Amino acid sequence: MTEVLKFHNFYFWYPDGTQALENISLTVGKGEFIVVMGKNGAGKTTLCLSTVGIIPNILQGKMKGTVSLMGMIPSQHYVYEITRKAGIVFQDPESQIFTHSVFSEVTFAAENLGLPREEIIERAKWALEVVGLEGFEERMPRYLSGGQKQKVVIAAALVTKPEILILDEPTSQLDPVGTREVFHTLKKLNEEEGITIFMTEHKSDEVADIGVDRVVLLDHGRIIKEGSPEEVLSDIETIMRLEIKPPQISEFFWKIKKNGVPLTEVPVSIVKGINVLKNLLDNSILQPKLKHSKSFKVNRPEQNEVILEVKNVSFEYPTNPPIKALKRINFRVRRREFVGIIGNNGSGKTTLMKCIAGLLKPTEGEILFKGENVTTFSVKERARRIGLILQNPDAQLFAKSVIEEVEFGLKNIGLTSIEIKERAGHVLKVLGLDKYMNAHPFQLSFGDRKKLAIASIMAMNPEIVILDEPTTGQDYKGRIEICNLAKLLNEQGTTILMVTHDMDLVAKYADRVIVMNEGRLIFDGSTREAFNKVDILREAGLSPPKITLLAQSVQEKGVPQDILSVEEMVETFNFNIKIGGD
Amino acid sequence: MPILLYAPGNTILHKMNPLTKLIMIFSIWLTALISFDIMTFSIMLSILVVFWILGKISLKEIASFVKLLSIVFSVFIVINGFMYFRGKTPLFYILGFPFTIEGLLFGITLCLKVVCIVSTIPLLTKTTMITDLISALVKLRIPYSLVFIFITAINFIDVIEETYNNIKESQILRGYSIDEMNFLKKAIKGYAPLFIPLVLIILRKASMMDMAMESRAFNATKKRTYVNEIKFTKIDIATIILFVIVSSILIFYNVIYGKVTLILPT
Repeated sequence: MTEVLKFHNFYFWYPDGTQALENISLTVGKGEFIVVMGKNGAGKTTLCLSTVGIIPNILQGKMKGTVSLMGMIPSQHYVYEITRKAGIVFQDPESQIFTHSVFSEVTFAAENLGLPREEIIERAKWALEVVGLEGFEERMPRYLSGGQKQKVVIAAALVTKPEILILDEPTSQLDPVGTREVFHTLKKLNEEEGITIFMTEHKSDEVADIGVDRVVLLDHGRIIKEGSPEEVLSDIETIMRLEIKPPQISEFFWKIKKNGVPLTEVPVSIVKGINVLKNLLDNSILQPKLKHSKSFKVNRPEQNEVILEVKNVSFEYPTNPPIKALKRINFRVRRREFVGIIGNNGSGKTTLMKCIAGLLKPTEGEILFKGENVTTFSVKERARRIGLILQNPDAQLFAKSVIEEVEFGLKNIGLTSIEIKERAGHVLKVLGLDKYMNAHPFQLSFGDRKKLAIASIMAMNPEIVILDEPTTGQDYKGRIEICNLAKLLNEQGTTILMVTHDMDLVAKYADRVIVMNEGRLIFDGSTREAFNKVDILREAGLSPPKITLLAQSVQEKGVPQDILSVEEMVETFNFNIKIGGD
Repeated sequence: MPILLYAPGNTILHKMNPLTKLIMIFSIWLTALISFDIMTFSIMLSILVVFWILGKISLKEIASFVKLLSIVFSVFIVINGFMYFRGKTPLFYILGFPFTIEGLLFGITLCLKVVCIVSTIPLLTKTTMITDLISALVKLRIPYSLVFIFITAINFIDVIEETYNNIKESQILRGYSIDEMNFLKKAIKGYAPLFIPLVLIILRKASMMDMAMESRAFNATKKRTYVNEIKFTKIDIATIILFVIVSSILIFYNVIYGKVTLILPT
């Protein structure tokens, strides 16, 4: 196999002295599909940027060792020379789109390189075809969905006919539909066009299923483990230690293996998983427990008073033509409920939350907080009652220190200075941010900045806390921490509404689920019920967690279909280990 | 501003060479600036209306934009009606002050002048894709980097506006409402919670864009290819001829009758 990309004992330090990469040696062969995984700050982005020479040509620092890309040393060339051999795609599609039509966006790089006009047109047509965007030539990129935008960016990187495509968390800003689109496009590029793919990613369940050639685990700038997905993703111990999300399928099989179930290999993809599980059930090594079902705790405080009532709410953005974002939404939330609101981008989730928090006024209908219309509250009154934490923490952090950031809201709602000091200190302690009390907010990691944003809302003690996509851009640990925090608040009496595309987290944390699609509420019920209704989820472009799908695939053997987590799945079975092994 | 935003379409105006539209705008501006005559402006406006219709620019938008300017226009007319120094024929009196016909006409002419100039802009912006405009400007020997920076800056206005709104919302959610503050408080410290995050986010976005531009080979070679070939068709030539002739006649007429002015008559 010819090598396309090679790191040899590569080290990199940023100018402030932090070591980003340490002794990286990695060879990528032609036609391979490689995924690099690691928590935030593990060095994934630095690795990607080093391959095309953005490091050290644009972002400077100290380096040692070599990188070579098809015989070129990236640091010795201009970035544009490398773009002929390697295409790069970053996280946020918005900041990679420069023009006003899909076609001109795709031709951009080739035009810059001064290629002959006819050839550019031909290449652009090819690029749009391989990413599945034929017919979109004249569309404006800003009006496309996130997945489509990212596909435009991929096509724009392909137009220089690179042999390798380097992608830095290309799906982190996307919803499940967008993620699937991008993954399938990459798989197709790899299989049909023979393009080498080198990508970093957090979404391990998708990585396990798409069938990549190699997975590399990165931590603190070092390669901890590399190998086939079966080899790497089944090593749950290492994955957990590195704070990476284990794929649910392999986590389940790893757990039952630890319980003594004889397995020669831990399957990682759902297809394999189903086969192995069927086998185990057929051979009666695993037996579903008879008396388990519905014993899982359902926490629906039916008797609590209604704290929030959404009555016939519609909302229309006054654009030209107007966009109907919400269509006659009705539901009630009781105190202490934990409600997950799911749906794809553009389904109206965020608009609905902004209406509830009073940022937007419904064009029709009303929203009642304990019987009072939320639009009658002043800004201060609202902040004390309903706390909405928007997606991007950086859109609100401005103070000189972490503690001042939390105090800001408290001052605004007019508390006494003693109370302010007390509450701010308390909240920071609960969130584990007290050690950074006097640090500048922007010195914190992204995960901690998000926590700080949450802290600044939490401190005001609102009775309802709404989290809008709290896990965007977070790694596994960050996501778990944020959700645990929500759970904690919930246990202390706060009502939680959590908007997310993260099905695993909804399954694990929410007691009740509201599914939205195209501005309509299409389902409202318990989480178990929701994940059982695969057709409703599919209508909304969603799909249940992998572990639920696994359980549903063997339902005829008596396995309950409403499994929500790996732990529940393990508990479902009796292990008949003595018979096993043949 | 929606009036400046490109609206996809397939009209004659959309197909027209951006240079033609630039010539069109330039000739109207030139004529409008140096003349001060109701008839001249009416003729130009009727031609412009035809082109608005040809470009399928919705009449609603014309209305909304006239509404926007209507306050300014009424001020023009009222002030000139009462104050115009050549005003002789009173139309009516308010508190003993005469409102003159000459002043009224002067005010109306002034308004028409403004309308003529402003209403050319959507003809370009609503029907021209930025990429075509870039190609056209580059044809005029304006350096590509300069054109690109200019256009990107315009695009960035949207980004800034969106980011600013997000920030404003985030701070409202923390009980901070700039709209509920008095002028002094606003000016002293009101904007810090809004502008600090804005600057930081924009800087971050800009550096991301910088990396993305590099990796799309921006400025790789001086001989950049332009896929959008802009050609002059018969329609372009006809339009240019039309505007050159109309403008020349109008300017000539204004010169003959001594109505040539620079911006405003003295």
